[in-house]
Amino acid sequence: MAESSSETESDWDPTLSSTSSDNNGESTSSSSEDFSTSSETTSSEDFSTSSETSSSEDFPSSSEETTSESFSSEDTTSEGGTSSEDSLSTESPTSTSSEALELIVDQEQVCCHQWITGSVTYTGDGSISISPSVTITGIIEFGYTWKYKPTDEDCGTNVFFVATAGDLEDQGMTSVVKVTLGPTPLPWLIPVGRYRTINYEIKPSGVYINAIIRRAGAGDIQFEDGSHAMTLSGSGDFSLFAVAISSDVGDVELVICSIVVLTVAYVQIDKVWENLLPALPFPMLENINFFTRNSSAGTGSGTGGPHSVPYDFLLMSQQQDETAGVWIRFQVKPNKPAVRSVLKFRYSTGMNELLGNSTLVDDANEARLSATGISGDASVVAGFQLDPESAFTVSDIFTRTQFIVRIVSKSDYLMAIEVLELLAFFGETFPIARAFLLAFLHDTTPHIPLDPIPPIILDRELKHNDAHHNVGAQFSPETNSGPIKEYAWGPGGIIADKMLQSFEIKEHVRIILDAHRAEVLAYFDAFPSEPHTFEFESDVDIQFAETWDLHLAFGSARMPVRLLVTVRLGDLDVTHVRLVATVQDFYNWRYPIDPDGARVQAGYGKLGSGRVFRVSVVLDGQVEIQYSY
Amino acid sequence: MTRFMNFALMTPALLGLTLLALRAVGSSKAGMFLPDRISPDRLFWVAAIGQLLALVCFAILRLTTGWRPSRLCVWLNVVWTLYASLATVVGLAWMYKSRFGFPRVGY
Repeated sequence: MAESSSETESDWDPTLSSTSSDNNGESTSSSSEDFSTSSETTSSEDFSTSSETSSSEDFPSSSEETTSESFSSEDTTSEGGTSSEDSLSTESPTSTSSEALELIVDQEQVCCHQWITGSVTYTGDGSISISPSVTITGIIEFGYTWKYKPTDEDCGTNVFFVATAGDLEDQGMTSVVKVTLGPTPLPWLIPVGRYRTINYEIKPSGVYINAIIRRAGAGDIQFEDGSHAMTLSGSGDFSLFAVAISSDVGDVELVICSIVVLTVAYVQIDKVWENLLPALPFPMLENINFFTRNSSAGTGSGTGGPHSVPYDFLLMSQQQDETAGVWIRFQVKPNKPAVRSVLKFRYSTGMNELLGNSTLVDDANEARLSATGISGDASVVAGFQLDPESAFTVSDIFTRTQFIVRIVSKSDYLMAIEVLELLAFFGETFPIARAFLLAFLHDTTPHIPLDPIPPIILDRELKHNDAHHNVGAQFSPETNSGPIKEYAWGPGGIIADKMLQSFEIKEHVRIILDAHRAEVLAYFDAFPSEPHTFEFESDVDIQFAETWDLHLAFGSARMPVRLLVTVRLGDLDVTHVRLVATVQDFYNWRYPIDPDGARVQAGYGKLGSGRVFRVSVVLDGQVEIQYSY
Repeated sequence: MTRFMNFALMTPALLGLTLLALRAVGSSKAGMFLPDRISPDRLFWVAAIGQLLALVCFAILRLTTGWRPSRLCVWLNVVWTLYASLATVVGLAWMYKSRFGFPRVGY
């Protein structure tokens, strides 16, 4: 191949003519601004002949190409200004009896719209024409170099180049590879650890091309065999797998004729908390009813704390409009607008039903998720919705919380109130429990019929983890606590009497007396002639299991106990036991044991009553017990 | 004799319904006139068990003498019997339900 000239005006002979033809080889006039003027070609044996008619103004000073089908010494004319047939006089380099025509195509295959280059040489007199029309890019000895940009029609076909000169003909071929990738729209984001299947169709058939993955940063995508390159042909599909090679992720390029930029993405839910103030547009009260990413079933972290609550759910209720909302704090990588725009959160129920809509807070890694009509257990899921036209589906889920939210619907709340009202109406056998229950249901002061001592009402605060479920008060963002009442009974009322007479108290008194046996015996060994009143102190965790009314009203309670025990001489019988203690309790509910009560508690402040309250009872009286040292 | 029988058979029902009335008006002053350690639930059990005895007595009288109580006595007994029965059943169910969990309240 002769040395090709560069595509500059100084190297370019403006008399080069061009004709154009379509792909079928039919000669047509080509439209060329470069040759928009009519030109008469000169007969010349030299490539560098000057044009008589065309001036240098016809050819831009920049290095532009000349479209040419013929490279001829014959005159051609162009008409109309939109087509031109320019001629270029040629001169045989040597006088030879044998003519030779050689067409060289540089590429065996190119992608659509990539230039095809080549050259043609002819050692003879006459013109050279190439079909389809090519653009001359330079002059070489006995010919010229050319290039050709495939048209849309060429894509996916084999383009045949035919050069003719005199009686000679030479051919060349290039496959213009058309790659069609699917599905549509093509996934541009692959979550870490996930596969995306891409189907392809490569035309023309029999062509092999390389698909290459170019990493540019922390993200990485591999073909399913772990490689970063593979050869494709025909049609089929391949899977791409996104891996995180560091704590960060980013973009990756898939080069397969064109460049497809793929984003490796990752999202993690760090914290979920009940939206206790749905009217406010920013997240608040995040440390009340929440769970964190590290919360796992059985540990109750996030709603546990002092109680070590063995629950793996967060109890909450719908609002009056039957929506249920949570706030979510998350990490998304890469944290850029395109990724955030497709990041979605949903409630996922047991049937894998996805409910709700999420809204991301601008410039913060927080989102609000709200759903109407949802009730029961649901986990919170996050994922990327690549197709905005379709719904967020299970296949879009990237991560889900281990912890679940247990949402009490408005109807469940109202039904639970009816059930508890029925219990209270017929709860004649449990006056204390009934009074507490009615106070809880109506947010009133508990009243025990026939009890001569009404309670003193004190203002208290319910803080995180004071109750088994962090619901049952209207929490304030200023104090992170909710106002509740404490009902305090002094000694001598029905509650105190029932406690002092209860089997459980007597059992604990017995345990305390047993624990001090050695002390009592030692005293009477030392002072055998004097009766004595001993004072014992102990912290008691009492469970009212036998006394039904107390069981339903208090269940278990903690109380510091002071016992004044009088022991007489001789048989060392205990003649008098005075118990002084203060029983303290939060009246609240555990969902696994009393779901109806817990449902009502969850709805407090949003659906109606159900406020937690605190109870304290001062005990100061005699415990009737038979005991002897 | 008939008046005495009517009154005797009405006594448990009157006690129970009085208890309900006190509950309805929310009176705590009544407790001041009651002996120590008399709580509403104990009164309820007295009224409920007394009603059971009253029904037994009524059955015996009816079968042996053919005696018919007054209309007021019948209605009071019907109302109280129904309420006491339901309250007993509901109370036992409440207790049963709660017993098969562990006590509800902590701290």
